[in-house]
Amino acid sequence: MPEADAPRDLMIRVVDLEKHFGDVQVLRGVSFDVARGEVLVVIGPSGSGKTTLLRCLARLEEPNGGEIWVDGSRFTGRTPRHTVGMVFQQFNLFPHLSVLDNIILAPRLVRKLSRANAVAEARDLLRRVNLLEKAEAYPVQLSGGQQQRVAIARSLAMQPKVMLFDEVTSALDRELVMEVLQVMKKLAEDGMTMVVVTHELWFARNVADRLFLIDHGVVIEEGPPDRIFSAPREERTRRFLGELL
Amino acid sequence: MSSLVFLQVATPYTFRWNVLIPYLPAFARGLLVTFQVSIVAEIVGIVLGLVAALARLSRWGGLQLAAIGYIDFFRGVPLLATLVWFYYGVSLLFGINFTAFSAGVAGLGITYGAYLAEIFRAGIQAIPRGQNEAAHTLGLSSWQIMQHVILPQAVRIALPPIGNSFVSMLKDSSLIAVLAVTDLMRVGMIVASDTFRAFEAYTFVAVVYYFATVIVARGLSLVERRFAISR
Repeated sequence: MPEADAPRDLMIRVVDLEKHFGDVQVLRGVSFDVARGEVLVVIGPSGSGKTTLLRCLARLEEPNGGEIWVDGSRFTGRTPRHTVGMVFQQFNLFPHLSVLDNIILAPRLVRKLSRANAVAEARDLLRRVNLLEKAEAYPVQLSGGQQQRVAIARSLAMQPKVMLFDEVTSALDRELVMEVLQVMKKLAEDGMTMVVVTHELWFARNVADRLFLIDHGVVIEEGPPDRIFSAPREERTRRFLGELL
Repeated sequence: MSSLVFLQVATPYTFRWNVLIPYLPAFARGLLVTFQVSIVAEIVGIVLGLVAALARLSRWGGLQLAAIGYIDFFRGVPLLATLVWFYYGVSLLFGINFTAFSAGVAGLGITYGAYLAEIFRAGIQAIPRGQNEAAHTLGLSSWQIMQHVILPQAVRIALPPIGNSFVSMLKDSSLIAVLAVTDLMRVGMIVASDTFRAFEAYTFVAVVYYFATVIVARGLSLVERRFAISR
């Protein structure tokens, strides 16, 4: 696909993405575009391939077929990985490092920032996720919601063009979910391009620009959240939303 | 205790601990040598073990095989045989003149490296995969991930078994007495033949080893607590 074909405001283009693990076909030719600044929410039953889709976008899995383009260039093994940031269900903070050191590690090693510059940036990011007072704390001293907000700040410190969120609130207690979703909402309002796998319908309704329903490795329905919630075209979508509500 | 009583009844052996008194400075020097050998050999073992663990986990088959060969070989050969082989064999085969001290340190260190390699490997493999993945998405290279994310955590996990290995090292180092390094055990052997009081000499040596290992083990658990990371 020639680069010139891509519209200017296109951030992600996925073409015929395929992934199998042994005999199990997890993604069967998924194609979609994400515009710059768009928030795409992916929903679907467990085992539908949502997480694998994100992991392919983050280059944690090597696709078996298809192409991924990010910001006009083919996303391959040689593209700097931090072009695409990812936040995980299990936070994955580095337990031996303080919050501040978690955030500045990659900027110092990969972006080659001086410690002073990296710290200044990290403090700005911590302010954005309302955790500046926890800079010297260790991950274990934080609540799950706080850890997840640090993980978001740590990803942002690499100035990614796209942020992926893989069920980032699923491991959290109910009362901590909202503080993380609010941070993500703010990020969306600031214009970040986001692909979000979530079961949080509040987020899907209020923040998503577009909704995707994946089942058995294919996109079965796609459209604006209002339309999908009020008038799903597919029986499977109706059933899945019925189970969630 | 009961066997000692039995011995006294069967053969009326009279302990004469005071024959050891003139040798106390020699015992002290021997204990110092035991610590020197053990510490240097443990450091050699840690370095070799770390390198072997990384080789064992590397993507390159040749390195893996070399590491497996090294680990299998030195775990499979008796330490005493390795020590003798290093002292006599290396100088015969390669014309390198090892001092008994360096041969001892080399044999102990290389053998312990084989065990420590497995300890480090277990520590590295205990780190959840998510750590690696998070670091990858942040753009770190595999080597940077190993250095800044995996190893600092793996070493803390490996600390208790490494401490254990040092406690074993203190005792196993006594085998270098056969290379005529005057460590604590060797001093015991000399005193035994000088005084014809082998029982006293070796009992005393055993008690000193016992207290040395207990004190070291207690000290190490303090260190472990200091470095533990909570998750």
